[in-house]
Amino acid sequence: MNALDFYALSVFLIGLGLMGVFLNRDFVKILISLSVLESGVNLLIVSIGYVRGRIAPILFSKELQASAVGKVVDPVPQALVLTAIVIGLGLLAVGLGMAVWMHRRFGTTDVSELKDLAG
Amino acid sequence: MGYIYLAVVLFTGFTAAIAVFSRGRVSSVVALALASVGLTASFYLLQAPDVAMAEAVISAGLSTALFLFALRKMGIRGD
Amino acid sequence: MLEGINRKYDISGIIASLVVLAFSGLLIYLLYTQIPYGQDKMLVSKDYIKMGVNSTGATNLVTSVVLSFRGLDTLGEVTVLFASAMAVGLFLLPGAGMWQREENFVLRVASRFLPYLIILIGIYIVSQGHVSPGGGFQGGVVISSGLLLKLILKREKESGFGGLVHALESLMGAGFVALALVGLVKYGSFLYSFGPKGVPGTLLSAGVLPVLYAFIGVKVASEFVAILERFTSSGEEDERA
Repeated sequence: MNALDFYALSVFLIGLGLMGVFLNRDFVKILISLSVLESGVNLLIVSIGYVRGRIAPILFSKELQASAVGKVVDPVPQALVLTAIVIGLGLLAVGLGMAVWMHRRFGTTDVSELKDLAG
Repeated sequence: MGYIYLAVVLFTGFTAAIAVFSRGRVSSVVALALASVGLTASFYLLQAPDVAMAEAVISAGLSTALFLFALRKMGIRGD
Repeated sequence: MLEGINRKYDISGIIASLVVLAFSGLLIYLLYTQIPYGQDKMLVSKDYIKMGVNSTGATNLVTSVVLSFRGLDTLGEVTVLFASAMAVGLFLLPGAGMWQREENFVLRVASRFLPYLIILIGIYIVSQGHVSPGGGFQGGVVISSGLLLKLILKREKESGFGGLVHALESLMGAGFVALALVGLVKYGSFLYSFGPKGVPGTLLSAGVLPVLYAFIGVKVASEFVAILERFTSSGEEDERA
């Protein structure tokens, strides 16, 4: 049962995030949907690197250090996703700064009203 | 043992759906925090403790705080 | 609950939903057939696992991949974080001071020791990033939340704090690149992990990797404190919740 779950969950999150970005009008909700989309992608990458029956890539004992190749999960997707999560936070900070600026400048965060304004 | 996987998956999917489709902004942000908790559990079940720690601290912690600070700066009194 | 979406049932919403559905179906199909879940698909990682401890001395393989084998990606991430901190400064002007708070008993008691406890936990997470899960990014964010708590609880307006934070952040970024260049000049490859390897599994091991993670931790902490300070201080037209 745990075979298919995480692929399905990550594709579900990606689909949810995409729908949220397309259909929402409030800029903060668009940012939340973007966050869900990015979480789905991260989950997908980590679950591609998972090998059933193996343990986390921390070699905490001597015998594990000697023969670790067939015993640990892939560490490269985890390193990439670690980077991606932090970058997602940076993106969120810039997006929220933009939302606050938008609220101050135009009085609203509704993106459908912005395309009528000539910057 | 497979029930834990199913529970975590359903919890994460449900709260993420609430986060995207809910009407109020504050409830959406809170649902996003819950989805991040579910995601942390998923990363732990996928044998990735580094990523789980990063997701917990960053997404369920600082990202939610950033959202609430920004909402407060825009003058939301709690939808 | 569904009123947040555009409720006019216009054609663009339906087209968007169908496109997302088709894309998700295609993704699921490709995943299930091309990338089987739970099977061994490691090609490059086999070498990383085999020579990870010998080459870097770190027992946390993710740390050795992040800082040594794929260190260039980490350098890119450090750059992206710096750019995002600058971009937030573009949108939000520096505030005049913290939001004025009411007197609160719980905050007053907690402010005596809680920020220092959080910062200590953050330093712990950063310093043992090469033997146990953790490292510079996670610990840096924890440190920044402790520093933010300390910042919120101060009563007077901040004067020299911003300058120190920006100087520290740039210094740590430069230090990271400097250590990477030392690896290039002395050993022939950028971000080579030099330094005494030590006994793997102890705190003083893995050569220059703990130092790199310490630099990254301080850099991330100071960046996020700068970002959060912009968000929690009162600029023009501040609203009281």
